[in-house]
Amino acid sequence: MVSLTAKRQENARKVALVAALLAPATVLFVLFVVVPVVQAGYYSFFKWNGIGSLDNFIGLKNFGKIFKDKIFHIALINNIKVVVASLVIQLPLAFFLALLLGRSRFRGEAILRSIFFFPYILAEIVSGIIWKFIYNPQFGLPTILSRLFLDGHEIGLMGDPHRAFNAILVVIIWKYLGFHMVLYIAGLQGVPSELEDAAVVDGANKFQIIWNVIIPSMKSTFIISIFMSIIGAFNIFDVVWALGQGGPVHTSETLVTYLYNFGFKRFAFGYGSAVAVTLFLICFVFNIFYQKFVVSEEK
Amino acid sequence: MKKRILVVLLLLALISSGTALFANGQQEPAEEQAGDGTTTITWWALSGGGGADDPRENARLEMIKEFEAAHPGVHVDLVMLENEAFKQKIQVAIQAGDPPDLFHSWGGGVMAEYAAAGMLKDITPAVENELSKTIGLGALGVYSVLGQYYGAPYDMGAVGMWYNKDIFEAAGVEVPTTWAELLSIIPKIKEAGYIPISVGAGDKWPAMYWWVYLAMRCGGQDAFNKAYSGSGSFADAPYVKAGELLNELIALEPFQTGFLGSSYDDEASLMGNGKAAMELMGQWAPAVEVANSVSGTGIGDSLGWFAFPAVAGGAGAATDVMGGGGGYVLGKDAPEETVELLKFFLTKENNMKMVEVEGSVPVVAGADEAVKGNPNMVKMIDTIASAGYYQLYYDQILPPAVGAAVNDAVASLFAGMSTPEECAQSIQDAWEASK
Amino acid sequence: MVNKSNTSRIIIGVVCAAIFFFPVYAVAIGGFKTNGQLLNDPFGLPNPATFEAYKMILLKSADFWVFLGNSVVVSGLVILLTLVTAIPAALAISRIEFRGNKFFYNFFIMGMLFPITVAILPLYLQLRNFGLLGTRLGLILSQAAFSLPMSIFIMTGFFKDIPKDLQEAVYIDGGTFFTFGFKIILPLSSPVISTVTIITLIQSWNQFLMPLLVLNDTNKFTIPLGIMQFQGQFTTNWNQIMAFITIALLPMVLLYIFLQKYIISGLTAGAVKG
Repeated sequence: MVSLTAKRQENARKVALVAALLAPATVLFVLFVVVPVVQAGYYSFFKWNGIGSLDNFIGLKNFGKIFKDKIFHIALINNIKVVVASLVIQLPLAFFLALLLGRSRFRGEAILRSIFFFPYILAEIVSGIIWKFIYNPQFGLPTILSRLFLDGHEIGLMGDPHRAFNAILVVIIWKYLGFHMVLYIAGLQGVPSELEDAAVVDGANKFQIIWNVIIPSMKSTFIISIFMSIIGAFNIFDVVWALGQGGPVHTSETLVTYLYNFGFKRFAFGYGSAVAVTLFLICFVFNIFYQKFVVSEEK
Repeated sequence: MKKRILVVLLLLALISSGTALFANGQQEPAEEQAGDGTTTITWWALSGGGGADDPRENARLEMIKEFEAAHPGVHVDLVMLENEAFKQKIQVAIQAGDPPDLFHSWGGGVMAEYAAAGMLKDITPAVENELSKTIGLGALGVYSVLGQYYGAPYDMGAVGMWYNKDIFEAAGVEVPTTWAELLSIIPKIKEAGYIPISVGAGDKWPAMYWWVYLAMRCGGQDAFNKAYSGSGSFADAPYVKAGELLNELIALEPFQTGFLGSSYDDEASLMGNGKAAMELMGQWAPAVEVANSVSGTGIGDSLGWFAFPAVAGGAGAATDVMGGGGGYVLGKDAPEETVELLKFFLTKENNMKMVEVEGSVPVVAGADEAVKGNPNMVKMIDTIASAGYYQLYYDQILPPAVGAAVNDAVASLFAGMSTPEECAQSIQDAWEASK
Repeated sequence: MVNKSNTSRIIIGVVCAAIFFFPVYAVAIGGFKTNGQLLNDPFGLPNPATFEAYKMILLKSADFWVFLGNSVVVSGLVILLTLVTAIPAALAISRIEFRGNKFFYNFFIMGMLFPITVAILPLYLQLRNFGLLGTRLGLILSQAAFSLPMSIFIMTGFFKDIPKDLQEAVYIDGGTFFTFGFKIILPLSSPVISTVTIITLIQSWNQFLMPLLVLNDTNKFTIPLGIMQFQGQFTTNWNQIMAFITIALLPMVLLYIFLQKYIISGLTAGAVKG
């Protein structure tokens, strides 16, 4: 009897403690993230220009319109291109650089690391300005290179519907590679050097060591890095916007620039919200699959 | 666990949808009167860049100083915003039901949408009784919807061809007066080693001007009125013809490399640096060319102006003009003094000052003496005065969604990614969807 | 490791770094040119170098210092608010067993799936309802809220790894959970706090859309808004823009250099094992 009351009291104390610890973050998060996001979801069922009253309920029509829109398809494919470029080029390159610079083998390593991390510090709007300057068709780098090595034709990457998005991919890789490199360097610290030494003793060559020793013991790092990179790829906005606002002719649109161009700019707020919900669902489904098949398998 | 998450999310959805409705219903008027009895007017204007010292800001600040001295107890808060930033910001402010007291507007359909949502202040008496004494009704009309005025212009000009006289001379070509002549001089300018036409198609609206002008020349006022009223369509013959004519030009490859990704700034810089022969642009072109030139002075007196060429057999007159300009409208909760500020901004002296600072075309009676020494401006003002049909920019007269669709459709025509028929049809589709 | 392989390491590293650094070099050098030099020879060394653009920004215009001050205040408070709210939450989730710690973990982590752009209009309405439009406080609260998911994610991972024995030892000595938090956790947490600080700082310092929509008064503008003001509607003063960007970056660079060591150890302990 006594112990039960004591237990209850202890329980109550625990609940109070948990509540006190969680309350500030929860209040902040609910008021400024959850409520607005859920509201956006609510708007997605309306035809609404963002002004005036919210009275034109149209159910799922916005979603039907989204899936029929060709430009939405372009945007989705572009997002997938970002995912592929991240997985195939960015992350391997980041891992390579981490192996190169992550073991404090020579002086100046820290400086090189900082250089790779540097683009990550830059504001997206600033990166956009810089790369627009570099890509300028009249005096930019591609044209200078063409004068030096090719026929001297001016090259306008951002004005070419077939190449603009590839040019943007270069910027994306440049901007976010450093972040993943730092993640991998952090992960490398967790690989016991005895393992590596043992492999060397066994006569394994470098690639075997990387493949059989380093990569398996950094599995959790890869899981995080790939997760962030894919979620980031679907949410990419500022860089693309700063470089060309989704142009030319919508060929470099991504889901969030699409949301902006076709929701905000055209006063189609209900439609824009539906795009936001679609984006969220894509990320959410991916998240569940990822948790289920990748993360849990690891555990 | 998963189920519980779902339940909580649904609960949150319910709660917050309640707040959403609540938020929409309860739009309290902004409290402009501060405790000490002073009135604050917020004023959003477009900045001109120019680094740390923006002449546009400085000119307005001077006016504000004078205005505040004459109206004790009134304080004006000036916010200078870059063009694209302004468009983002004003849209959100309007959607949130919280417009500034005085803000930039190009009039037309976008403004009408704001007015229909009750976001603007009706200032009809002030316009009819006072401003109309010094500003022409044609210009004021751009800021009215169904007979009600919500603001007034300070600048009203024309889009036309700006050209580099030196390049024309070097290429041995004359100013074209017809579309066929324009096409015929393109190869000669190219041979002379210059870019015939500079266009910032990445920003879309500079490209849109080409198509709209051709549509005006092909179909005249009649075609637009029919399409607008619903008795015709934006997919009618003149609009298709405009695309076909434009394709003839595009086929000659007259534009700079990468024009589909160029911004308007890029366009202006090619003109200002003497690399391109022509651009189709509004009254602000010379000022922007100067600002974007390496020399900092543009091409000076070498810059000439001519009206958009005529199209043989078209229903539109060669004297018809497309144009527009800037002005200010009042937000719904603007304090009374805002009208005074607008009137003060539109005195002859201040309107002349804007000509000097922004290269605008004055609208206030007598203020045109500020452009007397500028032959290009004189020519443009004469053209406007003799125009039988004055068409406001399509992306402003039409509702925002349709304006954006026009810009998109023309850009994809420039990219060779759609046919003239598809271009016209997509505009008509957007127009129907907006109604 | 043999010296020879180090030489090739250095060469490869330096070459890659040079390619990566090129855009930053172009900007840093651009501020020392006149606009004319810049457009004629965008990537060469300035000849002759001019300090006009820098002088213009640092001396003639009071604006830059105002923007800088605002950015420091806003980012500083965002970081503080994030830490003050995220640390207790992460502690509760990772160190106390109760029904729902997994729920709260997922609840916050879900936030990582949204970019701020998605909910920009409702967020704006929310700020208006609270009377926070036009205030730096509104900006700070919303930025801190959006930085919670990542912060809680990293911190939870870190706190989980602190041995349970330590916590029990504190209880046996008659200490409470707070004693444990202040005496054991906080002293151990400098790496993870640094990591969260720098990530929050980068996000807050670089935010463009939120401050643009929330702030009206030029005197409250942050640095990215300042860059926008510089660009103007119709002008491209490239040399001034580049000088502005370079100067605006310096505080971040300095901070990064100071915190660099901790970022890696913080990520090692937090995100990577989480």
